[in-house]
Amino acid sequence: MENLEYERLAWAVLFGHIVIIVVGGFMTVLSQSLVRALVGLIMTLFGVAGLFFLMAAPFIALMQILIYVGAVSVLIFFAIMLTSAWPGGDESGKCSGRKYIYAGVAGLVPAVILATAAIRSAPPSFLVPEETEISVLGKFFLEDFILPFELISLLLTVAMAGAVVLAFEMRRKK
Amino acid sequence: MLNFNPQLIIPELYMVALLAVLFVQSISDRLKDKILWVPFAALLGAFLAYFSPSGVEYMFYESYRIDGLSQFFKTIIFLGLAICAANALRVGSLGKANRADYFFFMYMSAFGLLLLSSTVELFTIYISLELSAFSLYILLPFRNNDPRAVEAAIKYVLFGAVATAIGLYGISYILAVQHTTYINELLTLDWSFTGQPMALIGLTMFLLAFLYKLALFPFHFWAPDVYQGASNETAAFAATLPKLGAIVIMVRLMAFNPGMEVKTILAVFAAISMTFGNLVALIQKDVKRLLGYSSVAHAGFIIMGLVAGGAYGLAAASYYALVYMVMNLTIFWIITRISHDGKNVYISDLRGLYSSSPILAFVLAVSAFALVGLPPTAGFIGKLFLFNSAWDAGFYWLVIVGVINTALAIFYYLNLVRHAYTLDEVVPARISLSPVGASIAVILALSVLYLGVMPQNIFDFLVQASQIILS
Repeated sequence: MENLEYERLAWAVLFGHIVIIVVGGFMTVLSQSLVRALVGLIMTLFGVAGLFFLMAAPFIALMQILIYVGAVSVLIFFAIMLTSAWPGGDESGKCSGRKYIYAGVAGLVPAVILATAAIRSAPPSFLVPEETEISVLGKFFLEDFILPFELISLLLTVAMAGAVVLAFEMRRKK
Repeated sequence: MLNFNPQLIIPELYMVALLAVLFVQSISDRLKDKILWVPFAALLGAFLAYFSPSGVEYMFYESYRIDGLSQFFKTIIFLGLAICAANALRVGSLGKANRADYFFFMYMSAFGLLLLSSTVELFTIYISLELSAFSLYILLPFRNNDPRAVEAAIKYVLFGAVATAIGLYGISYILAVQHTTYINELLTLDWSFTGQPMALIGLTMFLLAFLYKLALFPFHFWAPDVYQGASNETAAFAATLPKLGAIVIMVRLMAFNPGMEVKTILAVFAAISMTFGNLVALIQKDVKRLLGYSSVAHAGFIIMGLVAGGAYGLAAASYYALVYMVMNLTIFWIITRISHDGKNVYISDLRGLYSSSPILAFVLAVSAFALVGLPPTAGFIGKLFLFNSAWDAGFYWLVIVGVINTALAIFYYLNLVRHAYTLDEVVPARISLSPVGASIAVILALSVLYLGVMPQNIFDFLVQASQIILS
């Protein structure tokens, strides 16, 4: 009896998170002001972090909050502030209703196809989450996946150097 | 096993050394414009890759594999890079960024492609792809105050991000069902739609990231804009080398022999891609935009070999990758030489090229004939291998569509030659062709002819390399 109640609670928590993610997503896409869109994005990122907790991956969830909610969002906020984007840009006009319908269909069709495939043929053995220790995770990165792990650092260097080069280029043009 | 053996990855280590030198140059005021050595360094890299061992060896816990196919692609990536670098030596549209910066990102992109030709683990493939793509994103907007270049770059970045995100999502499906991301383990698993529908859907999504790089319909929309918007030198790079990386990965993935469903979808995309690319190219006035649509059509041809599968089909696709690179580098070399102040070249600008520079007109004719696929050029023999493989695999309708499209393509490619040879020039063109520029153009034209006349050695090598992948 108690198990059943826990299961109900788990479903409620799961759908609660899904609602948070979806609402945040719509806020990001639909809102007129960039700051409000950012708040929506933060809401979605929090929701995803919650899902990671539900999947028994607390380390990943904490990283999600630290990196995305903490660092990346602040960075985006600074970008909005420094570029002083005004709300009357090219895309600020009202869209026609038909466009919303097209966008909805384009989003729903792949989602439905992919979800049916996942629900119909999900491997049953992996439905019960298992927590992975952080030390195992670290070993995994530094042994099996050492090459991609090291390449990521190169990737970040390139992205940073590129951002510097392009930003200086733009500033000198002014 | 880590199994780190530096001898096996000499080309990659050499490239890292080049990148280090370029990095130092780009931050030093005294050295930043001394870049004459760059193309020669890439040429030396081609020799290193050509002579490095090509037996099957695994490194880094089996995520990195040295074999015939990887060494072949590394060699041609270095060769293409040498031509692109020589082409861009006098690039005049960098604004205030220095040349060392430009070459640093170009070589970093090529480094990502070198890694792509050897990686055999899905996450490593993904990150190598991003490494090569990120560097290219930074190269594209370098064009003096030209908003079109920035627009092209932003389009390429945004759509590219979506395409790679779909690919990454695809990996999650593959991982959920097959429980591994190593290609040599995936090769032995079931890839039919009835057995593992989720894995097949995942594989399709992962392939989409590469179809985007290849500019196959329906992911073609960036190609014309990027070719037209980027400066001639950058477009020559963006049009050729990244496709090699996409092709080598697709060759490795199609070796899984996935279910007929995926092959049919790809074949349909290929047919639409060829037809659409050729039809739209008919009405283009800007030569680079025309080449953009022509590359959409060529992507369809390459897919033909991939859907045919088997050692012959995969070898045909790899061979066409080499042919495609050489043909396009040749025609872009001409465009860069003709272009005045780095402006875009229109078809009418080609008028009277024969009288102002017979050498360039001849090389243009060779490359145009090759792009159509007329004998005795490389384009003919490359297409012949592709048609053969698709016919043997039973894709008769695809071969027929391909042949009709070759006929369609004759018009707009030979239109370039017609302008160069028969029409009189309106304004006297000022073409300053250095002896070095002329001789590289002739060498490129000769290699287009060589690949068309003597394909057997390279092709046999590729068939063997493909058999090793399949086993």
